[in-house]
Amino acid sequence: MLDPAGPAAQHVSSLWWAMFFGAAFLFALVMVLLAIATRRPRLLAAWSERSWLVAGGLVLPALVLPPLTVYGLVIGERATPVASADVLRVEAVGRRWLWEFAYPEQAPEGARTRTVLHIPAGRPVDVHIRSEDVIHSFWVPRLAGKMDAIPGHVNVLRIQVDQPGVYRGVCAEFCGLEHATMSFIVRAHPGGDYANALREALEGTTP
Amino acid sequence: MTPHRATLDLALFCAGFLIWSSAFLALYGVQGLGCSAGWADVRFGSVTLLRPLLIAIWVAHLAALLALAFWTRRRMRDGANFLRRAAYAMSCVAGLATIWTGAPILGLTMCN
Repeated sequence: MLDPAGPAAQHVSSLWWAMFFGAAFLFALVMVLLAIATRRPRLLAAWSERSWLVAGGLVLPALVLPPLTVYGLVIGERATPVASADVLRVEAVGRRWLWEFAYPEQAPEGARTRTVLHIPAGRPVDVHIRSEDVIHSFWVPRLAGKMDAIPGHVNVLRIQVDQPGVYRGVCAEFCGLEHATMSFIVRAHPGGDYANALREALEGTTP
Repeated sequence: MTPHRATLDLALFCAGFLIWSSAFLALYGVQGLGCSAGWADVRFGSVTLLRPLLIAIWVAHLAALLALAFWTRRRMRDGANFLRRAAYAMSCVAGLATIWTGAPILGLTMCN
């Protein structure tokens, strides 16, 4: 999560760092005030109790929380898949306890890869996520936030990888005994090699 | 204060956030229902069915909260006590909360 490999994860990461430094600053402020309150209480007595309550209970949250909410909404909106000609569509199907991936635009119906999702680097990919049994969650920390896989419902998550490589993913929603082993990898191929790599990966999987 | 009036003041004190919760539930429910039923795809020129519907629900609740704020303010001026002041304050805060929690329907993507 702290080593983002695509635009969606980059936004999540910058939000995380902003919150980290904000929280560190506020923690330091509270500790300083606490130290003053115990060692030099008279310094704080210049402000009435009411002023402290209004400043700490209303003004401070009003300064911190609304910008965070707006920033979060903007990031969520950017991660929302909008129609675009360049987007590749793949499907992720979770079931206890493995992930399968289908490629409706490149491969015939029924051709699936198990535990490895093949995508091209440098191109947005919409992952249509669903479940065949219980609720799972599709999460590749270096690429994007989590998205639930819900029985009877398709959720769409847009991911994009800047560089070819291997990126680990997990099921991020407890789904039973083998939940912890329900991992997968995303293999991002250079754009030109993608079709061949996918064909090789799918060989023998077509029913 | 008669017992009857105290009951009314207490009801008015609760009313603001009951209206807020009604707005929250209605927006949440209708948004999910509308996306599932495809109302976001029903177009009238450049607008879809779902967003104006959500905005109408939101505005109706805001209007109710505005009316409540005027009513509680009038009662407070008729004879201020703690409950009446609190009822007026709560209706104002509930109005702000409803504006804040509902405002994203104006711009965010409805369904995906």
